[in-house]
Amino acid sequence: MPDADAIPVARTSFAAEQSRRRRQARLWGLLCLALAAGIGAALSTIAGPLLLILAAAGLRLLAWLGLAPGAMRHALHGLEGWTAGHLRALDRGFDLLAAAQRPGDLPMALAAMLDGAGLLLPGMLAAMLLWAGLARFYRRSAAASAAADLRARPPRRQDAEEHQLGNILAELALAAGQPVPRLLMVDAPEPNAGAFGASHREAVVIATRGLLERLDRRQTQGVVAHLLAATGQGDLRLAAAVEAVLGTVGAMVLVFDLPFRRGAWTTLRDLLLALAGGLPAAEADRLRAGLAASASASSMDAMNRVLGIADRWPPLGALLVAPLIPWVLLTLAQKLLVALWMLFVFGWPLGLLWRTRRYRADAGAVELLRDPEALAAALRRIDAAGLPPGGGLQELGLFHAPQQGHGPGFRERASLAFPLTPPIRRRLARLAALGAEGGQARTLGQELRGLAALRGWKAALVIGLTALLVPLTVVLAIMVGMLMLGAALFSLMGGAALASLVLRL
Amino acid sequence: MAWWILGLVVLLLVLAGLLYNGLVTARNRIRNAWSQIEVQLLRRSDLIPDLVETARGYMQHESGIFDRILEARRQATAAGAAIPARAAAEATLGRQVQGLMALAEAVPALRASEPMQRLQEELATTENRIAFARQFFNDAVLAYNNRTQTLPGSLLAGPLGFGPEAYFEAPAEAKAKPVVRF
Repeated sequence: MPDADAIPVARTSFAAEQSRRRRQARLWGLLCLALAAGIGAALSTIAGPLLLILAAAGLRLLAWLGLAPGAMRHALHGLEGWTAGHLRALDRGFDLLAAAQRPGDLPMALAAMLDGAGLLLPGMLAAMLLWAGLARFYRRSAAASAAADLRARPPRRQDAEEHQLGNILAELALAAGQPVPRLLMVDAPEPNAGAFGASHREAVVIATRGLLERLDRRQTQGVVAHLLAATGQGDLRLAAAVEAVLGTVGAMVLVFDLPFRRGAWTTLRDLLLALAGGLPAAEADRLRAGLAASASASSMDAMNRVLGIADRWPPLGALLVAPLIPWVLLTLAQKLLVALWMLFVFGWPLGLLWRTRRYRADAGAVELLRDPEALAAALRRIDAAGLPPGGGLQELGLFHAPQQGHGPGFRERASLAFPLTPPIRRRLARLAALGAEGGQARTLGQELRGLAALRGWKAALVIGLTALLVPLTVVLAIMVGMLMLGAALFSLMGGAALASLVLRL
Repeated sequence: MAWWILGLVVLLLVLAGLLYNGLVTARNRIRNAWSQIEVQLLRRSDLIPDLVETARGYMQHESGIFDRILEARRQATAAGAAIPARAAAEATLGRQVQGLMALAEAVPALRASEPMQRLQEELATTENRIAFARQFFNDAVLAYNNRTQTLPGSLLAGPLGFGPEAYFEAPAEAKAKPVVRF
């Protein structure tokens, strides 16, 4: 309930602030694009040379078939020259680095290596195109996909509680100065609700029956205010951008799964259809699940099953499997690389971005309703009940994704990046800072300040631990970084050398 | 030289035109926000006869409050679009309705009746919508008043008749909580 005595004095209106945030959301979408490009660069250290070899084989085949052999051979020479040129630049960079005596020599070496890094450009370009295509597809299919996943139905107007939810939506949309979203209901006992769609103009709010049964009007208002604040600040667009980064990772390693999983072929077909704009929106969840599966650790099981042929039919099976061994090694290296890069480099900016948007939506909801306590109470109820069936792949749109009792979809994501959605205690802590009761949990900043306020032997302990842990962490970070860079450079140079050898044949 | 002066005059005219358009847009935004409030006030006004009919059967001993509500409703309608008067009348009406709802809480049979529950929900949502529409209206008034009272808008606003607009707010005595006697 808004404060009846509030007379605007010098505030910017809520709607104006939201439209400013929508513009910001577009810029944050560019960060997602940059992350996708980075992932493309990291992955093309292995996939790049592989694609070069495949392209060479294709061109050669076409030339052999008599299809414009001159042009094919010309393209082959161009490709070979391009690869060899970059490889030489990279080599020279290493030589310069090894011969460097003074810090002044380093820029030269780095410039040469940067020149050689042009080898990564095709991978980056491919990842960016994949991201753009996926983001567009996810954005357009979001509402239909969520409705299909959660098995939503239109609301029954004669049902008093569903009618009330419609009223709440209309009220708060009026308060936020936004068009009223379409309402859909889900017959599930777990309380939850989510906002999905392409933009705040055509948003769909999906709520479970559990939300109506377990939450009172105030709490439901809190949930709906959060969803409207989220759609109003442009989170629907951003959700598609974030999902597309995860999808790009899956798509880039999908090629490696093709010999081992039949599902990978289906996903490849879906992906191509989606990029061409021909995949029905209701099948978006299959594509989503397929891409998540190809980037997850569980895709290794399929590989193990195929390799198990060698044990089952000893002599013949081993012969069949043997040619796959290099491929298996490549796959292992690539997936390990993906996991490392996501864990250490690309995962946390993505999580940070998304979690910050969630906290902001909470703050927006409080601004609309001036009732942080209702929001906090709703959060606690929803967290205690677990995720509604089918919500695992839609958790970005949900008001809150409980971390226990989640479906397989959630775990697939969690292995790719940190959990993207914020833990409940962090949200409660922020709501407590806005005036809700019972936020014992503290934000990181408050915890650090609490540590700084300690005195006596406790302070000595904190200082001692910090003195021990900080250098250790720094050393660890440097080592992991060197390892990853080393592995990337090694595989890039080895692969490129192999590719240029094949091209020259 | 003459060309320079002519250019300057044209430039000033264009600027004045833009300023004028801005003022008109801001005033139209207030009109729009006002019609939003009126829709919601009308909605509440339409609910009241239903409410009175439903409650009267259960609360014969409290006939005074029904008369007061209907009288407040008549006055609110009579106030029309004169904003300060209308705001005061609507605040009185809102207070009377709240008083009736509080009394109705004490009558279990009425509280449990299905039409009453429906009315209660409709009244709650309408009160909320009035509050939110009022926020919007007041924001629009604030933006307009800022425009007409600061430079350069203040140069044009006076001569062209863009006076200050009133906020939609209840006078001080109407903000007191309703007193409920059982």
